Amino acid sequence: MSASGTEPPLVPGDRPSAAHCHALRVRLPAGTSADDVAAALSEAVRAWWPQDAPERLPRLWTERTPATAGALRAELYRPVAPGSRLRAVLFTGPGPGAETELVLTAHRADLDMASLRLVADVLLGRVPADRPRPLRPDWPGPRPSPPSRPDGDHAGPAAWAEGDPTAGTDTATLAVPVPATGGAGLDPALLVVATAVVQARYEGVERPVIGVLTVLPGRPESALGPFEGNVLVPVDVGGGRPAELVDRARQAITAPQAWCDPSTYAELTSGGHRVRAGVLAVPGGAGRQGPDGLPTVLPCLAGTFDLTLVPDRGAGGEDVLTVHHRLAEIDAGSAARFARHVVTAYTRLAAPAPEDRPAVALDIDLLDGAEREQLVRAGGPATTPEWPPYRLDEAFARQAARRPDAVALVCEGDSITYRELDSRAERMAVGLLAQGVTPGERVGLCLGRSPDLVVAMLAVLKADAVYVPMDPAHPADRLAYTAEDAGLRLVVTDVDALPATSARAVRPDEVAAAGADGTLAPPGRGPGEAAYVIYTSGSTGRPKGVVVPHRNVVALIDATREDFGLGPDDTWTLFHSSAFDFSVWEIWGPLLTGGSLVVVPYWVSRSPGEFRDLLVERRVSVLSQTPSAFAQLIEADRGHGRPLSLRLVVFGGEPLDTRVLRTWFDRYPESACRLVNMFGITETTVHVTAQTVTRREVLAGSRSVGPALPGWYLYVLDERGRPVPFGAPGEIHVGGAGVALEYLNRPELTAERFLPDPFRGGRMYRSGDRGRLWPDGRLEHLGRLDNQVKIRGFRIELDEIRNVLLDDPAVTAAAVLVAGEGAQDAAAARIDAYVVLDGDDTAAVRGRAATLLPEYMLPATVTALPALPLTANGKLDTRRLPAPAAVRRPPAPAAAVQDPPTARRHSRGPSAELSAQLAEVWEAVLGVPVGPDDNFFSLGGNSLYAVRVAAAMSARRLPALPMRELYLHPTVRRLARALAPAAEA
Amino acid sequence: MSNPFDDTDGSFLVLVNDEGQHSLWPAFADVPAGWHVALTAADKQECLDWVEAHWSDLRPKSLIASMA
Repeated sequence: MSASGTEPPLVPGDRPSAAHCHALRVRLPAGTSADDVAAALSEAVRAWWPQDAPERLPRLWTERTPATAGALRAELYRPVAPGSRLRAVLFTGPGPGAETELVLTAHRADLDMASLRLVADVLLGRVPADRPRPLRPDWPGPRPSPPSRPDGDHAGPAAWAEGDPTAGTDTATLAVPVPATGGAGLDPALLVVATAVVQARYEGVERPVIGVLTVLPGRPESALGPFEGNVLVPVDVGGGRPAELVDRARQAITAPQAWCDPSTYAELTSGGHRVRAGVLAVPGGAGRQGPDGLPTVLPCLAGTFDLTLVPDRGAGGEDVLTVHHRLAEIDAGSAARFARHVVTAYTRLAAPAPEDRPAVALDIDLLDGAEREQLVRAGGPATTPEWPPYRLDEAFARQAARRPDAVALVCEGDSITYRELDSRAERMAVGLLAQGVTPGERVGLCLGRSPDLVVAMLAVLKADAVYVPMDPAHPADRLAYTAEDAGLRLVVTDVDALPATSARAVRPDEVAAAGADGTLAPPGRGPGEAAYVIYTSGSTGRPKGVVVPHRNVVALIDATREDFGLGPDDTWTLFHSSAFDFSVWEIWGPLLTGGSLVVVPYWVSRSPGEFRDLLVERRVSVLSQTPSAFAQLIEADRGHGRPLSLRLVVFGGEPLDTRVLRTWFDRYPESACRLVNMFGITETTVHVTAQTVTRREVLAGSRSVGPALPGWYLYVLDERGRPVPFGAPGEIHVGGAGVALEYLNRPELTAERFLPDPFRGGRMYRSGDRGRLWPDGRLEHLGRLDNQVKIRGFRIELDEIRNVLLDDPAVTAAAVLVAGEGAQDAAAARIDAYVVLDGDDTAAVRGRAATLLPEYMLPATVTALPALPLTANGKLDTRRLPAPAAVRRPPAPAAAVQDPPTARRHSRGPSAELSAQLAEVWEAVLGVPVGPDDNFFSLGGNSLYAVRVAAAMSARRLPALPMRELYLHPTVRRLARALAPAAEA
Repeated sequence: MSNPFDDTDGSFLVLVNDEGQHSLWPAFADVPAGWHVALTAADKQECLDWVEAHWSDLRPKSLIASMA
C-alpha cells in the first residue's frame, strides 16, 4: 500500500457517478456549533491531504434551515462533484437547541464507507484528527492472463421485466422486510445465494454470476481511502448443495481471489451480456433508517447493476432488503417480485432447523399460496364459460335451420346454400352407412380443397363416424401409413391412384349415389366423442393421430364468436390443407356462425396475386393465414387500387414477425381490419390464445400471443411442475375446453403428454413449448424445448425426418437441422440433412425420403460425410458440420452445366433464349448454379421462392408465371417450353 | 431447463382417473385430486410398458358406458 495506489475495481465502469457514490448521515448533539464543526473539518483535511491546493480541500457547507425530509433526501442522493474528495453538509435549524444533521458523501474510488465513518468520528470529537491516515491500496494486478473468467451464466437483457427505454440511467428504490432474521442482520453470503437462486429461476440458467461489492481483506482500521471493490461470484445453483454454495459465496466475500475491474468486466460481458444482480456486502454498510424513514447509511446513491441488493435496517431495527433497480431494464412491479422472491429464498436457506433447509437450491419454492393462486388465475379468464355441449353436425344443423337459404359454400362460380349443403351431406351420410360405416368408425377423406371435402366432413359426422383428413398432395407411402395407422376401411377420395391399402377407396359421387334414398337416424354418440383425427409430425419417425371430440371445436368457435363478432355477414376462406388443423377453424368457423365459406382452389392458394383477386371478388371478410403466406399477400396487394374487404385476419401456425405488418397498417387501419395473432396446438384444438395486433404492438416489437381463450387455461411450469413466477420462462401447459382425447392407439404417448391438471382438475397437455406468462394473463411464446420446428407454418419433428433417413439401408447415421431459421427471410428457412452413407448417392437418399415425407419436410440438401462430428459429450457438434452440398440430380450434361450465362444466351430458339433467362432468375433467387434439368424444389426452391421467381420474371418483362406451371414444369428447360409460346404470341 | 418427463432415469407413477385415463406422473410430485396411483414408483420405461399393457380402450369410461 502507498499514498498513490491503484484504482479500485468498481464495476460496471460505465455507470454514472451516483452508482459509485455513497453517503453517511449522522445526528449531532443538539446545540452543536456549526462553526466548531467547520473548523474541525478544515484542520483535519489540511492534515490529511497537505499536497492539495487549499481551494480543492473539502469544507463544510452549512444549511441554516431545518433538516426537513425533502432537503435531507435531496442531499443524500446527490453525487459528489468530479475531483472532489468529500462533501460535508451540516443542516442546522435556526435558533439554539435545533437538531443538527451532518451528511458526508464521497465517491467509492476515493473513500470507502469505513473512511466516511472515521471522518464523522473526527468531526464529532470521538477520534483525534491525527489518527486517520490517508492510504491508497495497491489492488491486486495486473490481471492474470487470460483473465480468470467466472464460469457461469451471464445474462442478456432482463426478459422477465419491462424496461422503460426512455428512463436513461434513472434508478428507483424499494424495500422488502425480512422478518426471518429476527433483526440479527442479513448474511451477505446467504443473500448472494438467494439472489442467484431467484435469477436462475427467472432466467432459466444454472450458474448465474452475481456481482458483489466487498472490502479488501486486511484493511487498516485507521486508513482513509478506497478499500471497497467488486468481485464476480458464480453460483452453481443447478448443482451444488445450498450449504456448500453459501460457504463458497462467503469465501468469495471475505477472502476474494480475483477482483473485477472495468476492463475485465467489459471482457467478461462482451457480446451484450451483463451481470444482472449485485449485492453490496460491505461490513457495516447497512445502517438503520432514521425515524424520518431516511437511511443513515446509503451504500449507493443509484444502482450499479440492473438490480442492486443492499442488506439494510428499518427504523425499528428490523432487517430490510433494499433493492435499487435501473428503470431502463426493470419496472417497479418486476423488481418488487424479484425482491420478494429473494427474501423467500433467503428465509428458506436460513431456516433454523437444518431439516427445514432445502437439499437442492433449485427446489426452493419461491411462491406462497396466494401468489400461486394468482398465477393459476392469470392463465385463464376468471369465469369459466359453460358452452352447451353440442355435436358439430348438431351445431351446423341449428344454423341451417335458422337461415336455410343463406350461402354456405362458394367455389369457382358455384354456390351452395345451407339447406343444400345439409341435404347433400345427409345423402352422403346415408351412402356411408350403406357402405357399412359404423358409429365411431374412422373414415378417410383424401380430397382436395373442394365443396366435396366439406360435404364429406359433414356427412361422416352425420353418419356418427370420425373423419380423418388426408392431403392428396402427400406422398403415397405417407397416405398408406395414415390409412393403416387409423385402421381405415373406407377412404372417400377423388384421387385416381390411391396407394394400395386394406382401405377401400370410393368416390364422393359414388357414396352420394348410394345414399339417394334412405333416412338418417339421429347419431348415438355424444359431443364428448371423437369428431376427427388429424395427424401431426411425430418424433419416432411416424406421424401420430390426434383425436379431437366434437365439443372442443364447438367450444373453440363459441370462445371467439363474441369477441371476433363472427356472424352471418362474414365470408371466410378455406385456404389450408384439411390435414393442417388451421382448416378446422376455417371450415367450422363460418359453418357454426352462419357465415359463408369460399373454397380456395389449390393453385390459387399457391399464387398470392390470384388469391388476392379472389379475396376482392368474393368480398372475403375473415381470413386465416400463416404469417409467411400473409407477407406474400401484402406484397401482392401493394399498389392495387381496389382494396380488400377484410375485417378480421387471424394468424396461426407459426410465430408472427410483426415487422411485415408495418406497411399493412398504412393501407388498412386497425379500425377497418382487426389483426389477431393466435398461438395454438393441434392437441388443444387449433388455438389456445388470441392477441389483437395493433400498430402500437408492432412498433413495440411485442412477442405476446395474448391471453388464453375463454375456457382454455395456460400454465407455465418449471421442471418440477410448479408455476414459475410472472415473466420467468417455463414450459407451456394447456388445460380446459380444447384438450384432445388421445393420440390414436398410442396409450404410452398419451399418458406422457396428457397429464392430470393439478390446478383445476381434468387433464392438461404438456406442449413442449417454452413461454412466459405476465400478470395480465398474456403469454409470450419463446420457442420449442425439443427438436420440433415450424417452417412456413408446418409443424415438423426433425427426429421424424432423421428416422426416415435412418430407415434407408444405405444410411448408417444421420443428422437433420434447420438453416436460416429466425432469419428475417422466411423463404430462407431450409432443412439440411447430413448422412453417413454406403456409396455417395445422396440424390437416391433424398428420392427415397421423398416417397415418405411431404414436400415441406423434405431436406433441401443432403450432404454425405465420412462421420458425424461429435462434441466431447458425444452430442452432434453442429458447429463442425460443413456447409451443405446442393443436391444435384445425376450430373447434367457437362456442356449445359459449364455454359456461362452469356454463352447460354446464344443458344437458338425462343424457348432456349427464355430458358437461359429463367436460369439467371433462378440463380439470382436461389443463390445456386442452375442447370437446365435441375428441379426447382431440389435446388432448395419452395413456395416463397416461387413467388419471388414470378416477381423477378415480371420485373424482367418475361412471360407471367402462373404458379401451377412452375409446379407442373419444375425445371428451367421444361418451364421455358411451357411458357415460350406465350412469349411468342 | 430439463423436464422430469424427459428424464429417462427419473422415478414415475402411473395415475388413473375416474374416466380410466392413464397418465405418467413424477414420483416426487403430489398426486393430484381425482387420480389414484395404479403403479407405484417405477422407471419410465416400466411405466410406459405398463400403460401400454393396461390401457387398451383409450376412450373415457363415461363414453364407453354410453355406447353400451
